[in-house]
Amino acid sequence: MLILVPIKRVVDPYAVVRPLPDGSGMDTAGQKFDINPFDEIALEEAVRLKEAGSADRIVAVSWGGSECEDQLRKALAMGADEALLFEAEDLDPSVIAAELQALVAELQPGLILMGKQDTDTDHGQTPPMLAALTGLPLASYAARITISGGSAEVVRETDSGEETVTVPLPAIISADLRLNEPRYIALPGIIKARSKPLTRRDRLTTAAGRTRVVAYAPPPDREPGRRVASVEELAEAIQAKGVLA
Amino acid sequence: MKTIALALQPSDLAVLGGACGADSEAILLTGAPEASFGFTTIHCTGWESLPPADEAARALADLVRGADRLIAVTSMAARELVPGLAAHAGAACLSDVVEILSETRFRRPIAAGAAFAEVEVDGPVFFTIRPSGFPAAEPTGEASVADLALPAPGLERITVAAARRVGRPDLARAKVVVSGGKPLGDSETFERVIGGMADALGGAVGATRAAVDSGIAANELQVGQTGKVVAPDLYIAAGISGSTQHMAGIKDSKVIVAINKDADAPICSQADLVLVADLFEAVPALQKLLASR
Amino acid sequence: MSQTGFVDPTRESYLFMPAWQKGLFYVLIFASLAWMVKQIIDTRRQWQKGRPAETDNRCLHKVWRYILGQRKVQESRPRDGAPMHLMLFYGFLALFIATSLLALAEYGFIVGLPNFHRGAYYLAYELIFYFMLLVFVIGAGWALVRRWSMVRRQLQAEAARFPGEPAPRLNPLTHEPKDYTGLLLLFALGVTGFLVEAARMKANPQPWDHWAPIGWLYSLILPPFSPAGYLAVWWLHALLVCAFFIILPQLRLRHIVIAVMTAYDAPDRPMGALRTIPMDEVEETGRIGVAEPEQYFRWDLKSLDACMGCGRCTEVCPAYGSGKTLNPKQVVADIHGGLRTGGQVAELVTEEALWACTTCNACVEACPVLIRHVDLIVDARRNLTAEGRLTGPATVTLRQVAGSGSAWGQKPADREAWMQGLNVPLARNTGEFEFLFWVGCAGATDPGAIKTTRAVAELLTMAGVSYACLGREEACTGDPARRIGDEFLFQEKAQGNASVFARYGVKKVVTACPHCFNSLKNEYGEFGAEMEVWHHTQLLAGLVGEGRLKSAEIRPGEVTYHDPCYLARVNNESDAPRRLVGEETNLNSEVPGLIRAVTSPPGPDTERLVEPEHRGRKTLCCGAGGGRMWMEEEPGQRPSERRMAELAATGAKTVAVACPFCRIMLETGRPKTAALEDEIRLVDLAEMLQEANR
Repeated sequence: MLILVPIKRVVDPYAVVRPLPDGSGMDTAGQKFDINPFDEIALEEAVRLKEAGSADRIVAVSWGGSECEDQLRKALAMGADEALLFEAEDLDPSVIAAELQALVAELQPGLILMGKQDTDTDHGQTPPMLAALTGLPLASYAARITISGGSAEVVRETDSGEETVTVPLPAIISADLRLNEPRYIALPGIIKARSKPLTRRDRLTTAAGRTRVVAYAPPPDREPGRRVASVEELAEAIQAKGVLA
Repeated sequence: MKTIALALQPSDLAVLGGACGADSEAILLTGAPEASFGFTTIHCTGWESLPPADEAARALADLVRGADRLIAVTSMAARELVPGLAAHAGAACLSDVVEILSETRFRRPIAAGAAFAEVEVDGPVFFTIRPSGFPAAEPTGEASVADLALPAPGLERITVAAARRVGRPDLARAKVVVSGGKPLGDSETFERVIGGMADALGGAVGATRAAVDSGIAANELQVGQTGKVVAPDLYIAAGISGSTQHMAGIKDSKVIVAINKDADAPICSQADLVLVADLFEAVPALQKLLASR
Repeated sequence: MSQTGFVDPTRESYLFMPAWQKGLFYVLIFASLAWMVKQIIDTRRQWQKGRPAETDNRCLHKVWRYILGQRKVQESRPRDGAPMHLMLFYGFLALFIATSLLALAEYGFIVGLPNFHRGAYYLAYELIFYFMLLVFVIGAGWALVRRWSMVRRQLQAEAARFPGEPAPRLNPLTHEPKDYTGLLLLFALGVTGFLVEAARMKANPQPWDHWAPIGWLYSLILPPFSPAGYLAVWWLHALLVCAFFIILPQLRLRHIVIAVMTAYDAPDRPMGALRTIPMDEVEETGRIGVAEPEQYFRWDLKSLDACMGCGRCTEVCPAYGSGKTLNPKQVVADIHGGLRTGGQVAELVTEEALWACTTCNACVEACPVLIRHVDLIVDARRNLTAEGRLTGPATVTLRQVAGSGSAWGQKPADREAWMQGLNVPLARNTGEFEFLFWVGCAGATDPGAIKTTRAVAELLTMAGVSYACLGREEACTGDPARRIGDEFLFQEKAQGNASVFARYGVKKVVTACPHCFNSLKNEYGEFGAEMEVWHHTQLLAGLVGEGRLKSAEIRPGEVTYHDPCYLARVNNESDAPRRLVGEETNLNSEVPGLIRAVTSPPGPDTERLVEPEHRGRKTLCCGAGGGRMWMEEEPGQRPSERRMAELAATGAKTVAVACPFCRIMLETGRPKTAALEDEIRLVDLAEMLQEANR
């Protein structure tokens, strides 16, 4: 079985980035980039499924500029067998979903394992959009995946607790945080992965984005800590924050 | 402009009523409406529970095609349903909108709240909203209800339905976490003071490494760099000095409340709300006040 | 033999011995020697599987220091192991010299030497070397008794430590029946040596026999000996010597030969410097670090063979001491065994054991045959990390080091937050400065460590030292990455920091973190940052010495000091920190006399400071090194608890520290039972000095 894992390049999720002063973008100067953590979890799961014998090939794919090669090399080092880079710009989830739809038609994967969302736009739209476009069943927010026969049993997070679903393969599964803990890949592992194939291709569709960000602004300042004098004042302050359901 | 409010459950209607404006229709996926909330018609699917998101999107696709706007209240379920609907309808899609700036421009948080993006869209747009940014609508009388009697496909996929966990919520995902440190003294006191507060707020219980080490709290309750990393909306730290290791595990919490005898404890300079007091008096008093709200 | 009237004291070699017996003896002795050499050559073939050394480290000085000087042996087990070994070693050495001199006297004529084995020289020879034979026999007897009692005592104690575990795997002291064989052989060699002498005196009495008093006294109680009887005893002794040569390579005793070879070309790299892996090497071999034993260097493999299993490494290991499965002696044995059986280092040693190491170097410091356990372990970790076997919180640390440049994920801009209200000069704003004050990740993040950082800054200002900080231009030294096993992340950080140093022309650095200190001092040179590196206690002690600062006043018994491993052991600085509280000690010096360890075991000699059991180079690790700071610790298996208990046992209410890592760890290692108000105060020496100079 072939597992397709889409990878997004995002700014270091452990760094705090701020908008540029003119609001034209985010200030990522000097920042490291990495694989979107949820995609990394999805890839880790794919590698584990392959190690367990449930899959025989993993293809990692990304859309973007040549800089995305770094993340695809890392994906190869983590255990992907092959990487594809589609050169593209002005992307939004609807474009990625359309491109993925075309790629799914080409590769016929048994499973598309992807992150539930990225950590830079926080959209979380691609998996359900891809499901709508391809008609494949979707199991979002996976916390545990078991493949047996032609189906996948997925324990998934929902608003009200864990739910278990069984989807026939091929299917789309999106990974949540608790699915696994990805392996740490040191830099030379990425160099070692140079021997694995990374192919650059032209994008598959002419789909155009339907959304574009026109300005970035910093969030309102976090209020400085406040000393309260009494329990009553504290209770009022907590309620005023609106954090109690 | 044709706006559709997509309510996953009846409690979404109030928020959506405020966000959608007059002359909108609503589709209610589960349950029955208690009032109209300003909607001209509320279409009920008649579903007992939500089908899998992809199946639900397919079932609703024809109903929402042609709408200029579709708005839902954000939740895990809405975030996987609305993009599917947008794909079926060929609409643009946005998640977690906090402000509608114009017909084509919206504000939403990105990068875990590190910034807000203003997004411009072309054509119809389907989006989820964060309720805190929108005033709730008044109930305003009985709703005009239309029964859609849609089939609920794909339910057989769900082999074990979600059930609210019994007991306290999972520490790593709880909206409220109440944590205690070593000054609690012993496990009975810890459970009474910290556990009591957590139960009153429907939250989870956490503990410092020192408290776990002292045998006051169970191992799996440890919060911090080497324990669990939590990001609740409200983190109440009682008798916790705020070591580096502990703070690393709670820094993403929305509101950190520190109750500590020592005004110089490191946590007091990092918390949002600080009460310098004896926790044995302050915590039960606070519990009483918050529980009676 | 002199036939003149004047009787010249001497003795005849091969007395009463027919020529064919003499010939047979030479055949046997050379054959057994050859057999020994063959066995050692066979063993050497195993080491030669390893990689050749990159640098030539050969130097006789190391043989002088570690073999003839017995430096490491003297420094531990002062009550039994050390004196026993010193007697055995110097006895054996003396007998080796005596035999060599005898051979030289006998066959010196070949090179034109007269037979000098006569007269006053002969009498002195008899007196001295038979005395040394007595020393040797006592040493061998002591070793036997010690082993016998140890086997019963220690092995039982260890069995109780890990109930259900196969005892030998986890013991610092191991025992096999053949260990008795070696010692019995040595003892028998010594005893028959005396017997041969006494029998000769009986068979061929001479007026000067009493110059060898023990043999002579012994001969008094012996029955008369015929020449044949004497020859029988002589042959017994000679055959034991042959047996000794033959069996030596199979016993712990082989260290007699191999330890000399190991010391001769031991790496000169400082204890605190790990080997740099060149990127070319990775591209060439397609591998990082060591996966299989053959991938170690030849010297490392040779050192495994020199191990005589004394267990000094395991005795001092903080991981072992806190109940973990890491046992440095077993690491050596496992890799050594794997050289013959094959297998992956991580499987032979177990991953759990490899990750348990704090790289505190206590084992390296203790090892008498100079094995570098930390190199062995880190090389294996490097491979595990490269193969994606590292999981848990340490991976977050590495990502943060790579990303924000702080081990705790602090943003670069926040590295200047501690400076609030202090007017700290920043390198980018100031012109010339003498010292770069390197703050480190902990010093800029941890609330406790920030107190230290602020104290150092204030003291430097107060003493008029010209200094500057890098602030947001500073990034993690990469030390945790290197010691966890991510070598190339370390190299990236080292290159980055070195270029900042170059930009500001940094010549001198002072830092309050011993881990940064070690890395900057011992590892940054390779990356072009050649600087004088000072630990803050060293610089402050200098300022106290010059009268620019006052030392801290402490009352007797109130304060104890915890030596950080990376300062006291790895970089041999234990005196400067003590000088800050007015104590003059001599802990940095090498052992001056051969038997100091026996006559004056290291004990408290400070007046006001109370000293814990482990101090100076023998300090006990807090558990933070080697990236352990960021790894999971099971309750009850924390080195910090053991160390804190030891510090608390001094009765001191203040524990002075000189390392932010130690401070964080000891904070969590406080006794569980203490009431809050009885809690021990943890304070950096710089803060004590700051109070004294207010």
